[in-house]
Amino acid sequence: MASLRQIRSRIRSVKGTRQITKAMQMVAAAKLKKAEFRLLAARPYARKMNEMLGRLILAQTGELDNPLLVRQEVHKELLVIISSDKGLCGSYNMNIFRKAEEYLASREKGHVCLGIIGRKAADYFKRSEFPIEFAITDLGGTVDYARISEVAKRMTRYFVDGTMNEINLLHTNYISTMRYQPILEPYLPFRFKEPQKTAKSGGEVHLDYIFEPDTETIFDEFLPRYLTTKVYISVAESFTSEHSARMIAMKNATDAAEDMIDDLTLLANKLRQAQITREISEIVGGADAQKG
Amino acid sequence: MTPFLLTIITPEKVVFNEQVVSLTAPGQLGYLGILAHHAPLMTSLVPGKLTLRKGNSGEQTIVMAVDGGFLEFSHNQATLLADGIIPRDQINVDSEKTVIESIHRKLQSFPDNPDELRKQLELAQNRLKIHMET
Repeated sequence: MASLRQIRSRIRSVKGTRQITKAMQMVAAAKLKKAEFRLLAARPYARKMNEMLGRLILAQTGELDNPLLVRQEVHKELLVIISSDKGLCGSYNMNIFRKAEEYLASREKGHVCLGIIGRKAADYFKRSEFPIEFAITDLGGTVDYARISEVAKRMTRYFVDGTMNEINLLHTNYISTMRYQPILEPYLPFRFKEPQKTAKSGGEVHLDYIFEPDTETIFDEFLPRYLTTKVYISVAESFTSEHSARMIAMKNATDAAEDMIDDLTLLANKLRQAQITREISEIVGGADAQKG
Repeated sequence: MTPFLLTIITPEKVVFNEQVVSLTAPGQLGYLGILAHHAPLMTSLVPGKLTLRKGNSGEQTIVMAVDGGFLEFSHNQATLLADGIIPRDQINVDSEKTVIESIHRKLQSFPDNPDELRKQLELAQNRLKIHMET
């Protein structure tokens, strides 16, 4: 059994750990607040874009002739994975990797390349048999529109010049502080969500819009922005989830440290009491011996 | 004058969400003016000057430099999705001039993204122009 001194030093060290995890929890909470604020600020734009897109598609009568819509035979595919740069965020990254592995297992090896945002995914997939096309590892958990827009443009370029025939996006959707979910979405070629179209034409009153100059021109202008926004919002969602995952992980660690301190303190007290009892009985025993 | 709600949104945040009585925006086919009860409209915008009037008789005028985007008007509500937007009084002449100079310099050394740079140049010049006129 450990001595009293050993237990006391363990308590001290666990207390140190608790202090650190507590501080990290608070930092994560502050960052979460900021990230959430940015996410909520970015959502209206994305939502409005979706609405307008629905209306454009509804009004479009002829076939659209946009290179971003062309579905080619898939020879080369890009999977873009959004993870975190830093660790200590519980199962957040693991969930993403598992989803990625699951998907990659169903693909042929020579076909798929990876695009990576976040250092953790870059480290994880460095040794996999899928080549990494690009990796961005210096965002540090904050979304930057200019940077993301570059990434989105690069992805679009890959698709247009035929380097890639299909692009998919794996990111994490932020639902609430306690809930987030990795999700795999097709990115390019751009596909309309058909059910949305039918629902719109049935429910909402169909308005006769004036389109200036015409739907096709607007659509061609619209699509690149839509694609950029999609990446931006995905990254914002992912980073918000990351901070929330880290906050929860650190909270759990703090709680576990507290439990451990309680247990150890109890043990230390028991030992101390046993020691005192032993000492008293020794003294009493000694005194009795002298008397006798 | 009848007011209507104008919402200006950039990819990063909601910039403006107030009642206005009129709106003039740089549409792709030229500047267009919008008053309340305009017919449903959707248009793409080019870099230019956005003018809006607030107050009962439109006595308060706000001018902004817009980088392009889209404008939708329906149900007496205008929504402007801007790539970027800045009110005239927040335009920083010195920084815009530095941007223009640096782009000019970059353009001379055969960059690999000249179109992107020219686009940025156009935006900076647009902001500068709007700042200069009174």
